[in-house]
Amino acid sequence: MSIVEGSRHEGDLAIDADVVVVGSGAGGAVVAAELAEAGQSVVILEEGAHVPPERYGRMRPSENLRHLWRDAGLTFAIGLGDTPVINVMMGQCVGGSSVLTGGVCFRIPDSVMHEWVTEHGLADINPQRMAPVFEEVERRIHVEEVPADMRSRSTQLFLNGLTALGMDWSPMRRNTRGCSGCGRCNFGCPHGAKMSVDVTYLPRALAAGAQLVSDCRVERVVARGGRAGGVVGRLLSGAERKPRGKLSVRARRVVVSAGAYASPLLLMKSGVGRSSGQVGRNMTLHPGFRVMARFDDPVVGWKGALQSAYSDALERDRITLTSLFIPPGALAGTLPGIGIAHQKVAKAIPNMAIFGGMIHDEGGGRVQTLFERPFMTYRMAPRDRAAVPILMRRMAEAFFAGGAREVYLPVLGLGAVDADRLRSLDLEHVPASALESASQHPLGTCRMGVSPHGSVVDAFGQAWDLPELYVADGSILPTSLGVNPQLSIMSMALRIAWHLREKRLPVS
Amino acid sequence: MSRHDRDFPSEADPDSEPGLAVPLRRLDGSPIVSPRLIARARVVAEALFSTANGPPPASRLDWLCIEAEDFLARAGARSRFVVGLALWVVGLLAPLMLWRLVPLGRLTVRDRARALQRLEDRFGAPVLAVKAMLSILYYEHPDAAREVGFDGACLKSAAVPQLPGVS
Repeated sequence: MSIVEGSRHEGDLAIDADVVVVGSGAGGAVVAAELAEAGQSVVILEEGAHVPPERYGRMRPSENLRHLWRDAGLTFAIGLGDTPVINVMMGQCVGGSSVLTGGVCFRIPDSVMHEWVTEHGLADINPQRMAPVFEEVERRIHVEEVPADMRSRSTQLFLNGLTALGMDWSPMRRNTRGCSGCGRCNFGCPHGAKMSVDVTYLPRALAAGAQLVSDCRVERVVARGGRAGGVVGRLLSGAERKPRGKLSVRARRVVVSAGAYASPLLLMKSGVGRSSGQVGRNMTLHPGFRVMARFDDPVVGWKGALQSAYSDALERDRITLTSLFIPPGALAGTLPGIGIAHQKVAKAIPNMAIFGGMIHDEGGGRVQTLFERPFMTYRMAPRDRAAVPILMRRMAEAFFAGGAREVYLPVLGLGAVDADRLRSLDLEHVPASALESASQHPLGTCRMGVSPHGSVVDAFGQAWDLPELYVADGSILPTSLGVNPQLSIMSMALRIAWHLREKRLPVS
Repeated sequence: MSRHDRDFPSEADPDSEPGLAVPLRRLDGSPIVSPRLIARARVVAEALFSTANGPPPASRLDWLCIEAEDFLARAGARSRFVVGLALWVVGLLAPLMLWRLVPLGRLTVRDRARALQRLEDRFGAPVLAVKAMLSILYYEHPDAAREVGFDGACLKSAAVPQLPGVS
């Protein structure tokens, strides 16, 4: 097994390979493992650091943020028009966001695939053709249903409320083996029970001879003879991870799997996809909103699986409700109050339950650069914006039906809300600037399609205007999913990997 | 020894009192994060986490400031700018909530808390940005976690498995 930590490497680094994979997350790890096991020489390049599970498992949440998350979790999409600022959280480490998910595994919903077939012409991406792909990924990462006894009381109380209101819910499936219910999956599993790609696909890739270089930033895809022929970049080192030594990888095929934020930036810098006019556009986020509730009895919501159940009872409004929990510090930070008032609500943390809701959004986001500095903007579609008050009200009602004393809605300056006050609240006219929203699911910025007009890559991820350059990550999904995308990204990457495995490598 | 010489120096046993770690600094020992920014964060933290007995113990605030410096040093220039801007805005606007035109740090801790409370009620966004970062760090201190009843326990006792991660 071979890992080069760019931060420790002296001088420049030049490598030759059959395939270079940019990014080691849910997309890149899958492609790298499949191609390496097929006998191809593979190099994986990762901007983040290599932090093994025995290290990140011992980190406090804030340490995890500063070592494994892009911008320490402080990346934002600027809201345009009637849209809140959205905190977009992404991994930046070996294993990528896969290390930092709640482990939730949904297949691409049939209704979404139907839309891809009928409206985007992607005829091969249908439930029948995708079933074996999903099954293979699920087997490799050990997807299992979260048993009822692993649910936190926080989740169960909300589910009780849903049941009382006649709203359906279901247990989630996650990629875990031997979960202890520590409620902190999204800060790296403390016991190695989450089957993220750093403990599944990447070890397979390395065992098959792949080489992984961490702490390096790819700056450009190099074209040779009219096709992709490698990448160039820099090794990152020093306290501020500044670019130092040069990195160059000469390869017969390039796979970009840097995620929906970084992949379009790399394509833009490389001059790829300009003719489509779509690189960096069409970004969907699944804007998320969490509702907290205080109960009279202790909840101790951190005990249990972080995410264990979901409800699609509000699907008609394009809302999915998913269980979650957040560390007590993050929880306290979003509760209202300063000084003595803050102490009062902070002491109620053991009595707090949380549930999340996300919107199956239409898009309206964009990744772009200004003076070579990347940034994201997001404009909520009117239908998505209209779903926000519905989400807040229905979630609050579910908590009250479950026995909550008061709820805390994601509205700045609102304070605690009891059941009577909820009925009189004008949630439909809360300004966007007062809404707290977060996203962990940026998608769609290099979307696939069947024509170079309107899409960046073809149905197998190949760039329309540079042969042998492939994109295999969440950026190729043509629409949002309405569910957590980890399994979908891995499955789309596997589909591309199987295609590449059979496709002859070009002569170097 | 500065933090860049060590990979993960502050992985303290969660049950033990954390020592004063050394924040990430440049090779020449100069800070990456402006000391003024950290001073502004401390001014807010004193009020944010104050109780009827006054601000938290100085040792805990010292610990918080070191953690904040390390956090922001590793967070990158963009995040430092966002947090720095939020702290500057909060420091500028909060005293105005009490019709006072002085730096926030000049107010008593009690007045600071009142000013911040009013700012949070009216213009929550900059307060939220500062409060979220400070709270995540502050409640990782074992004493602070204990005070709010957080024990960090899992639902089931875990047998630590052999980790198959890349090595």
